[in-house]
Amino acid sequence: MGEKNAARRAAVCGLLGALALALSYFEGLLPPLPGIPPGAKPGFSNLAVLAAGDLLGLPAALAVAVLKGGFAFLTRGVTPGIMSLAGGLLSAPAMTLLLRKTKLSPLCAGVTGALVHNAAQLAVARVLTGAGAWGYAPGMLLLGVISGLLTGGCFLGIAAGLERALRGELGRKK
Amino acid sequence: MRAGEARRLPGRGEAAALLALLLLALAVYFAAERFAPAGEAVLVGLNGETVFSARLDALDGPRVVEVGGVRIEVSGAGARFLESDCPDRLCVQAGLLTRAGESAVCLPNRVSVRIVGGGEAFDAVTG
Repeated sequence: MGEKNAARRAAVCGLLGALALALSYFEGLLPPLPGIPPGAKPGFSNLAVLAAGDLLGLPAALAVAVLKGGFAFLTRGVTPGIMSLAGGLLSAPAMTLLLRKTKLSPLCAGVTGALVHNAAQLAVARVLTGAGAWGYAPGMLLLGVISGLLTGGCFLGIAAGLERALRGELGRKK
Repeated sequence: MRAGEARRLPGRGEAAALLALLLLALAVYFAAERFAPAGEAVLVGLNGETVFSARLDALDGPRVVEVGGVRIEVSGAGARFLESDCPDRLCVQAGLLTRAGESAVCLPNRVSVRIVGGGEAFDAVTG
């Protein structure tokens, strides 16, 4: 049973990693949104990190975040890779902590994760370019709250299915 | 594993807090856009250090500043990235910056353009 469970966890973790890459790719196809700082993305792939943190724990969430960063590095270059990694490595523990150690809902975790992600990216941009990066803060704050609510809401929708997969009940009748 | 446990929907307090945060973010966003004073000076930074600064009212015509792989146009109206050799050219897409507090950065080239106003503009250009 233990071994089977470990295999299921590995499978779900891989599934979430693939989901993160697919969402990152999809986001890259979206046109720049008016009023949103150029280069800022909705961050839907945080959904996969959120789900990994909630269902599998911190190591899995970090693994998905690192995978996401590696994908950004390979497809978009060094700077986006660093930005993604910095955001992911800080937002993953923040979201996991909220989901597993508090009674707060995934919506709250999603928003916190998005804001921590954006704050980490702003901090990296601040280090790389100086005070100019602060001009992006209002747009990133608003975008973070909205996309955090969306990812948290999506997770509420898919959580039950993922939990069934973890218990090995996928495909069986309820 | 919280197997079978119903998903936690936000409680009333949490929902109110999230709504308040959303409204706050909206207010900050629109306030930053609407109430920012007109820009007084432009600062161009490379690796976090200011390499060019000018008061906007002292510029009589458009002037092109070249720094670290990008070309930046500064004029009395403001500043914008004209060209960049970076892959995504997000800095160019940022367009013309006119108001105090507005900025655009080109991360691959480590170049930033910032419009400032008030005392900061004075410090920036005289200091």
